Amino acid sequence: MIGSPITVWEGAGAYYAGSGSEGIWLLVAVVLCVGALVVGARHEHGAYGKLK
Amino acid sequence: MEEQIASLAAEVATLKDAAAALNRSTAEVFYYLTIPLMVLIHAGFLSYEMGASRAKNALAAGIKNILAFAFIIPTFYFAGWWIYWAFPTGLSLTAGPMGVSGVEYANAAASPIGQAMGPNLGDSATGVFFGAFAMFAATTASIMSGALIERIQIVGFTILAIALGSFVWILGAAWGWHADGWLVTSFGYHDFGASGVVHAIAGFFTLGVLINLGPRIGKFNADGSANSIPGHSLPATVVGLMLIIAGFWGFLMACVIFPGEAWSWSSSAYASIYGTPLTLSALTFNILMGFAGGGIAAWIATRDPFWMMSGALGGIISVAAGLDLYWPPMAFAIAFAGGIIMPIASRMVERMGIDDAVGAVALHGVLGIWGVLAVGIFASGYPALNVEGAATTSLMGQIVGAAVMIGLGLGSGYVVSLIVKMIGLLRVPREAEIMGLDRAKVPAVAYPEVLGGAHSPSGAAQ
Repeated sequence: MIGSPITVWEGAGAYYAGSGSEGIWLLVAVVLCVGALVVGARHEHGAYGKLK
Repeated sequence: MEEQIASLAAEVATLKDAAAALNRSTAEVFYYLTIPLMVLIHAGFLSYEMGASRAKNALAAGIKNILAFAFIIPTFYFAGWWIYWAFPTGLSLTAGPMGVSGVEYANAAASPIGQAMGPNLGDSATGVFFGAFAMFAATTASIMSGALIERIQIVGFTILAIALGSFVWILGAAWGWHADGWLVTSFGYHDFGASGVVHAIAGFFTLGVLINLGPRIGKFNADGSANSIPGHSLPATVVGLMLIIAGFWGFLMACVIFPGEAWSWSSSAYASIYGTPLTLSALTFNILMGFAGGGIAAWIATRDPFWMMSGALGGIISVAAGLDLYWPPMAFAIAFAGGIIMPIASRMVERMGIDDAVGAVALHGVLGIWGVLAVGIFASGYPALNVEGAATTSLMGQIVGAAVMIGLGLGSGYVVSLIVKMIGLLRVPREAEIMGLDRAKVPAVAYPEVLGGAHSPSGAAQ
């Protein structure tokens, strides 16, 4: 899930850290984005609500 | 038949010469273009710091920025460029394993009275490399300058900028951002985009200075609680931060070694400063993810546009050390963590009684260290150099590097600012601070209709 998938640079192709667990990190990023929007919407509506 | 072969051989020779000339000029223009992009960083810092100052101090902040840039150019030429090539193996001035370091190499490549350091038709590289590094140096001084606004003397600040930009960060770079650097050869330290060697060193140097400089008048109350001292133009500050981020692309572009030249690591692939291969595509994925993760996290943590923009920059700093290594959604997560850490760190600095006017210690110092450690946590096991038997990246190696950057930055910032303080050049007098630095020492007025007219009859410099 973390760490290098290669031990030598010679012939390396896709060499990124996280190789083999791309989907998990993608899920983390999606959850962070959606979560940020949900939390942000709650805060925004709360701010508008205080004006009433 | 023989004539045909001779003719073909001549054509091949012509084509090879043309290809070599094209590669040489492309390499030269690659680095040349990084320089105006990095000047954008300074346009950004000008806007950022003038906006973060109260109106009465705006122009003094601007003068500070311009002078830092101006003085770093000649002093980096005199000393900084030579230091980078002379000291990678520590303080012994010996050559390292790759043979691109040590006092003799430095004298040949970087002597300010040598033929490589001027117009030379046989050298299309030294000037643009020097220029890129000088811009990195100027960036370290700009990182420091925002924290010190509204109470530092201009000349004292300039001395500190010269110390940080032309002597201190470049020593850290020799150790950790050079293929012969002892942190790299012995500990596998990896810091592609200078999270440690630029951001952490500058951030902790700044902390050392802030300890001696003291807080602005009115920042802290008798009970230790802190007051907010808002700048006069948050829009200018936020636009400035975005310009810094735009210029950061030039900085990161200049961290890459172009292929195909005699001084290149590879005949065909871009490489890091260490010689490990990479692509600009990889960097682009992760720079963008860094911006996004940091900015979104800072929005959630603070709702404040100043901190959001700082968070976006901080996100890039959080992933800069491993921009060449991370899976992009991983980079997003690392940057997101940085955006959460930054305001927490800033509050901790303030609780320590340190008045950092723009959060530079948190943004550059702490997130620079996070960026260094993140390589050890998420990207260990890579060969740190592209040679057999090279040390590999590791958490321990990154911890050692982080400790060196903190020690070098904090120690030298504290000592140099203490000396500047002892010779009476550090802090402005109380009366000047209260009146406003612009009225005290600048022959121009930022907002004459609001602040009153120029205080010399003609408005000209006296």
